[in-house]
Amino acid sequence: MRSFFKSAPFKLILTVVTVLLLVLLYTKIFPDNNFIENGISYITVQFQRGMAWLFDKSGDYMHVFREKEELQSENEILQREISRLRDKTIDYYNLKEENKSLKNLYGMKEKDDSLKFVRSDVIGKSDTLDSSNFIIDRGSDDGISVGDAVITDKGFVGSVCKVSACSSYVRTILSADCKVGVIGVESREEGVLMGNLNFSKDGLTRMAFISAQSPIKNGEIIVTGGIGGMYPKNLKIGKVTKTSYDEHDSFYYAVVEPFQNIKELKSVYVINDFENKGKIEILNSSDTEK
Amino acid sequence: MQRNRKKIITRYLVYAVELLFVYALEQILASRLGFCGLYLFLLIPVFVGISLFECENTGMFFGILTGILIDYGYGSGIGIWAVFFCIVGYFLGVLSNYVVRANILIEIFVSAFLILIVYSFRTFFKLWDFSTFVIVWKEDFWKYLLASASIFVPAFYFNRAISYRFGGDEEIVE
Repeated sequence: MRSFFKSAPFKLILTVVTVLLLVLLYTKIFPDNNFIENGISYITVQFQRGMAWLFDKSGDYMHVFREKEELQSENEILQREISRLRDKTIDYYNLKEENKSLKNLYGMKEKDDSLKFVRSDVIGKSDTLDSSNFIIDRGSDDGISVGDAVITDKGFVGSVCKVSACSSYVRTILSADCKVGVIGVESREEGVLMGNLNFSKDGLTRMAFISAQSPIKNGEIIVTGGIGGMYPKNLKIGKVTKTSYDEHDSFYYAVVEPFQNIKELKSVYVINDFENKGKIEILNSSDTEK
Repeated sequence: MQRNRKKIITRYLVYAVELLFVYALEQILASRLGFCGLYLFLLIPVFVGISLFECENTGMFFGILTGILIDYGYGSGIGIWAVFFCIVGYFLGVLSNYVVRANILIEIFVSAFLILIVYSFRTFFKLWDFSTFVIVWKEDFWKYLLASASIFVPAFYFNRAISYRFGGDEEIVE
């Protein structure tokens, strides 16, 4: 045994392990944008992009193998859907006119021009447990930084939690580590969006720390509060499906069903700049009194 | 001698590309098959397949590469799993060269054992609660292991084929 500790293989293992522990220490001290992870990301992202492209392309051809009956029933459903949408289109134009006049009346801004987006593809999954968290193929080289909001056309899905040169890790709203200030659009009830392992499996999240007599109702739309200056205001997230009380953590919460099915994401947009980014909104005295 | 060196370099390149390819596949399957709630551990069986047909130093080198990819994929600091797989790679090399002849049963047993360790550590340190860990473990682990088992046999025979096609380490000595 003593001869093993003096042997060349043991010294080799010891040297390699020491070097690796130093690397570990370095990456822990500099978790973002360190040259080691950047180097790895340059190589792995190329493979992951290629794989994502192949996977998506093969998926496009899979429909050819579907059963004829399945396609027929899908066709019937789609025909009914078209008819329903035609009726809705008529309503839409009426509502659009009404909306236009209301917007002019209240002087609402139609679009926030200050938002800047970076489009990126989902190329991997970063956790076995938090099945919703994922990796995207854009990083600090594309202007992405930690804390940037990640959205799709259907709404807010999460934020960037770690950045390398050409890839980033996204923590979604289903994750237990997610903490986002949110607000109910009708009730103006404020809360913190934080996931939970049980809800995450069903693609749901929860708005925690709402008041016991919360006026929040089922079906109410939840949007980002934007108070901390981390994310833009009014990014839609999802709708409330029920309210309940967490006996373990002693707070009331509302279960939120996100508008975007987070587990089936293929591409997302990262908001890397917007007006008032980093500015903390201070409530005025009248708000504080409320 | 020159031809041997060429073969060895080719073999190592094939292994490196194989690991990167499997890493990308593991990640993309996990992100695109999210609705199944599955996570396939593909990298570990491939690493075991490589180490079983190589000497201890080569096993150690590819162990480091596998560990780095696992660390990078999880977004944790680079090094924790690299150290672990470095040591495992070394001992797998010793095992297959001096103790028993590499066979499919060793591949299955060692791969399953390593998946058990990686999954359990990751889950426990994420939850920090033993009772919840046991519930999650019972629910998910067997599902993940059975799904990952699909690559045990192909990984073993593919790496054996590479090892035979591009020569073993015995030829280096000559």
